[in-house]
Amino acid sequence: MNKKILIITDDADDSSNLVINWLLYFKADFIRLNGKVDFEVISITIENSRIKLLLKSQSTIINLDEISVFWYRRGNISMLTDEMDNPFVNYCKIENNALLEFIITKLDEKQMVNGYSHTDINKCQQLELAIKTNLKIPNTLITTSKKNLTSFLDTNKTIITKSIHAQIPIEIAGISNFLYTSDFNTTDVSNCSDYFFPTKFQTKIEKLFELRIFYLDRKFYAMAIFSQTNSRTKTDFRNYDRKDPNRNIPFKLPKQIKSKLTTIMKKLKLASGSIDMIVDKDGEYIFLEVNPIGQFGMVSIPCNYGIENIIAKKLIEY
Amino acid sequence: MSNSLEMKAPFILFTDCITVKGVNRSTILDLTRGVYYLIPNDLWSILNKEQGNTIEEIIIKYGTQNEDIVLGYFEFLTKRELIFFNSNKNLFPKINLKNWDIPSTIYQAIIDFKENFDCINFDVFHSLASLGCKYIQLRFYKNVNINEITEILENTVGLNILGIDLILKKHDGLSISELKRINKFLNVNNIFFYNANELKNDQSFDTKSPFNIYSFKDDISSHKQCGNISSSYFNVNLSNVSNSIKNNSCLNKKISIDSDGNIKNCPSMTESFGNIKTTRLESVVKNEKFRKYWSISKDKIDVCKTCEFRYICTDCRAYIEQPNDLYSKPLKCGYDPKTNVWDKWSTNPLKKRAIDYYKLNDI
Repeated sequence: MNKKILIITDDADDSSNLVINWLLYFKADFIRLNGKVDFEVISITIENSRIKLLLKSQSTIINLDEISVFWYRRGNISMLTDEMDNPFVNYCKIENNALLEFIITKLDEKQMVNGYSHTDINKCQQLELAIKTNLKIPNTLITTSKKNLTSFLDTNKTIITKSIHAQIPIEIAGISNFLYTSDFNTTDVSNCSDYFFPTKFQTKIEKLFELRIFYLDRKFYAMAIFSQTNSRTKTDFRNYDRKDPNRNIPFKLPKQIKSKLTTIMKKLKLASGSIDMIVDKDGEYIFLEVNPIGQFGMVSIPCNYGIENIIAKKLIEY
Repeated sequence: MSNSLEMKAPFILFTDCITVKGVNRSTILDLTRGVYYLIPNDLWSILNKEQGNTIEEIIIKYGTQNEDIVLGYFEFLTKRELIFFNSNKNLFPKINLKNWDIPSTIYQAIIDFKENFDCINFDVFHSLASLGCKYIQLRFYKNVNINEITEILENTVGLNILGIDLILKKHDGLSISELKRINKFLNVNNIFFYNANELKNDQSFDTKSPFNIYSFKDDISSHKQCGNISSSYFNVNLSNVSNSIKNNSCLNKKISIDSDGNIKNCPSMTESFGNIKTTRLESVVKNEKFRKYWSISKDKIDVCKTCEFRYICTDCRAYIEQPNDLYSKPLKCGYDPKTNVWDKWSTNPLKKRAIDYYKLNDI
């Protein structure tokens, strides 16, 4: 039977473009859907112990029988719906949601690298899982109260603030701003009102270097980022210095760290993901977060790991 | 004694910095920052044999009479952020530079145009794209007007080609303002004018244009002008270095069509693998003879293999010092790794026979 790969991504996603260049080179048969994917159901047949799904999206017909591998990378999946204003609106919504859930389940049964279901994992939960696995994390406080914050700063001396979960740009006066991790000092605290919107604070770790680790099927592709000597990137390496870029070099994770990370990834049901860690001045490994759909290109290219090629081959050879 | 240096901590050379040993001196290639440093071979030895040791230990080993030299080396290495200090060297494996690979059968192409364009079948762009070609250089050895240029570029629309460079002759029938008509071809990266009466890098004639314009005074009458080796062509980045370690830095995954339609590795070479009118590029690239130059890395080329610049330098197989020896040094290289002197290649008496052979006297 025809082996087809279904990829859902963004047109501007560099990491998937790199993989797709390899798929083209290997002359693989694949369907690429970009951006917001609206599925239109042609038919779903459930009879005589077999299930057939025939869908349409972006004028492409997708026959689930023909799809051997599904790789979800970016973008939303939803059902194509007409704008309706009649008594059936809510009824149709529920019907569509049930269909969508079933379609995603069926697609995820064929998932490789990433599926759709486990792409957004609560970061508080991740931290909880890390401490249960005996991985160190930064002391963390989520609070709405200046009083709590003041005593947290007293105990931890230097602290940072970062999003609890969201990673979306905020547009102010037409300019997109990312809320990068920032230092938070005594003056900042004194500028706070007594009560504020729930905000996350963490103890600031004196880094030796940061780690960005791409994990795929129990293999680790780790990179050390020497962001510490550069004042721009000291607190958040994404605040790139284009003139004197940070050194990003291959890193070999110690066995016990690998085994703890494998446990976390298994519990999160992730076949792949980008893991952020810090190695502190004492050589301790500190877990920050997992991003299920991280940009592996930023690890693969400087370390020459060839991850794009590895993923392409996995998709083909499945 | 320097007090800014960490004397008691084991040092490690950042692994994105590669040392290359030459016969008389060496280089450190900083692959992340795109620069290279010339270093004495003594420092090459320290970097290759002493990593994981402390500066204090190295001074003891090399003798206190050399202390100032060793300290000078480490001040330089620290200042340029080429080393760091960590007691566990094993955590930092080297970058694997031997696995260079790209998803393209052909990556770059050169197409030359002279008298007429009849010999080019414009299906050639489709063939190139399907072979994975990402960069194409179109070189015109005659006066062309804007209509002729856009007509050719129309054939590249919708193809997955990332960059096109145009090499054009400056003449009265082609004005800079007409180049606006090229704006719609988003994959045009650079336009080079030769035979220009003024040397000007006019990059902002139209802010909407996706390409840069460069002008040269020289008249480029033919492909014989190609193949110069110069430090200005050095390219320090991971992909190029990795390719050069394994392959020929000029010809790997390159295909060319000369102005008569002959399919070649490079227009300057004599060997043709058929004419584009009758031969498909897809069949040429399968030919082992066509690919034979691809794997001639600098490590296999006489003289170059002893040169400290070998992984950042360009190469030329069209004009070589011994025309009958595939592995001889590029003719148009005036550098001698033994003396570290760059001389003019064209006046070197030892190269006279090869210059006569290729009829390069009047270039």
